[in-house]
Amino acid sequence: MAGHDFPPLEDVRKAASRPLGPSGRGFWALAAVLALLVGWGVAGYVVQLKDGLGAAGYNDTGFWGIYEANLVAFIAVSYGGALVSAILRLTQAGWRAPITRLAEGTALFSLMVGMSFALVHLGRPDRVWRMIVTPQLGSPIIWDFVVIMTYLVFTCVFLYLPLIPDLAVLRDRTRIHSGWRYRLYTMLAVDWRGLPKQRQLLEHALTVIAILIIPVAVFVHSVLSWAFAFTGRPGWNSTIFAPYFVVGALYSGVAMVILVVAGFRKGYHLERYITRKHFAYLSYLMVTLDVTYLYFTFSELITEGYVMSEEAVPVLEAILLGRYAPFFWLFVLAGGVVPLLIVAFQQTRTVGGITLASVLVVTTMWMKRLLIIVPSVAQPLIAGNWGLFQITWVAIAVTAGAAAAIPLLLMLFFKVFPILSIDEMEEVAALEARPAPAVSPGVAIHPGGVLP
Amino acid sequence: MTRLPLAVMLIVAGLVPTIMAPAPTLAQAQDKGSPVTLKLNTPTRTSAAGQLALSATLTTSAGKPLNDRAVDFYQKAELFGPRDAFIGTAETDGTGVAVLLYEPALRGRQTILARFAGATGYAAAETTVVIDVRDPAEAYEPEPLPLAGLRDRLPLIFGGIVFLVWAILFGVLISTARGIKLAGQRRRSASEAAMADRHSRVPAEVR
Repeated sequence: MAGHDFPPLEDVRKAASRPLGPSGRGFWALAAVLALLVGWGVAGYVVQLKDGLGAAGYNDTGFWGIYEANLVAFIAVSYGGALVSAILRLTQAGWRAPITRLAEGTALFSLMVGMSFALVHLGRPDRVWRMIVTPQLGSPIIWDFVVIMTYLVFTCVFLYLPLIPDLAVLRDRTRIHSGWRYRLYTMLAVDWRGLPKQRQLLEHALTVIAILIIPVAVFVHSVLSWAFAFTGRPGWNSTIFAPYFVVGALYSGVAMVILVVAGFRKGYHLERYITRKHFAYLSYLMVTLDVTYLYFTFSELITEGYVMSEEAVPVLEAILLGRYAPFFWLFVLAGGVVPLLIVAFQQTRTVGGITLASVLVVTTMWMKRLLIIVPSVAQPLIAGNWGLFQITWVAIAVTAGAAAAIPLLLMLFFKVFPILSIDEMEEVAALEARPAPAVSPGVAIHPGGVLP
Repeated sequence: MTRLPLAVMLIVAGLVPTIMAPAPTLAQAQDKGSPVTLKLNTPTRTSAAGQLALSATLTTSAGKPLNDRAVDFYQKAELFGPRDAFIGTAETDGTGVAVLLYEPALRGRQTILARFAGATGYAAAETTVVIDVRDPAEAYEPEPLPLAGLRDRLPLIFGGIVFLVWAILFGVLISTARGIKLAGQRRRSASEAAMADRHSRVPAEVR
């Protein structure tokens, strides 16, 4: 980040607190639209509760479908937060500072929404308490429950800890008003004064949590993948599923972070703090994961295609050449190749271009999860015709409601908490402001550094 | 068509009612022959796990044992109504005792019925005994699962790892929050003390 011109710190604080103030008509109009979509989703779920899972298109031969894809997809997009916050923190990537709060918030709310699909896809949600009272320890579903809850708590803690110094800033700003905000910020800021001892404790805690959250996140999607891979169904029973799901989650997660950052940057006029450079760096991450995901897809298909086992061939044919082929090749093109090309060329590697690439990635990766699930489920294992999962308005409503819930929750969250990580940005600015080390005469200056 | 001799036809005709006649009920059988005593002894455990030895003693009314007679054993069950579930048949030995090895599959109280269907000169008899099965036999022995020892320990191992991760998380969170709060409070107390000290040093006239 050498040479980056940091805005004055007071401007950073003002910009971070901008959403906390009164909102304009645009905010409320968007919130109303999102709330309506969420309401539509709730109405769809009520119909499903009344009429059964058949109302959502499920049947004997199409017993898994859109809700399972949503479960995987929405939890997957939370990985962007883990990646941006944890991994970039551990690698001391200072450019992450303006976007970490958005990334961490996205991680939390997309995880919460994704988890809800574990209930939505149950035909008898009233029996879910049995998972706690009489768990089947050998079932990947129970492992899912445990690791997702663990990841949720980690995400909450990882969102809260870096928030403490910012909450202290807000506490001091709202002291004169002494309202509910002041009381809330005071309670959550736990007497933060910016002391060296406090900073040391916080840094240590964040390092430990950042190190731990990575294997937890990897485990979440590995266990999610095992719910499919351990069934033995053709198309699912693959050893590559765990890393495949993890890479897919990271890929769609980074794309989601780009989308959220683009939306809030535009909505709250944060162009000065979140610049083209942030989008470029995120897009490099995204295409690295894009290529890796395409490689895993190719590896999985070629392994099954080369062996051509009797059970796997019908699924392969259906995906590559049959009824699901248009969707698969659309994913390859729009979700794999096009984002790569957009980022590869400088002319298209703009904020708009990268945002478009992210939209393509998020939507096609959701579709890819459907492609992982539906063909394998539909294949008849004993005899008979291929099953069919038909998407109904109920499933569409619930999915749309869930998708709308994430930005709505983020908007409401940033009405109370600062949208930029003030403390991290100040820390980075302080590092940038340090004078460069003096170079003694007679030492050659190499373009890449100083030669001894 | 072969014309059967009349005598054969008469014999066959005489047998048909016998063949086609239903088996005599216990009540009907009891009407024929001397009464017998059938006693079910208390079942005993055998060396095999979950196995019981059912024994019934069949004697005449004079107490003489009846040997080489078939005794049927049933379990009284409730399956769409009361039924007698057939367990097996054992023959009485020289002492009139018939022993049948029984492996009950269900735990709890069961009524065992022994029935002697009667024979020439002897009436039928039946008797029951109630047993309390506490250690039922396995219906089948499953093949041991591969890596059975490891599979048994895996839930404990993973549970331990999950517990450890949660313990670290909450330990770090609580200790960090407490440490930050304590440091802040100490600083606040020190500031307040310093302010009070400064205030006390300022002469009263200046204050």
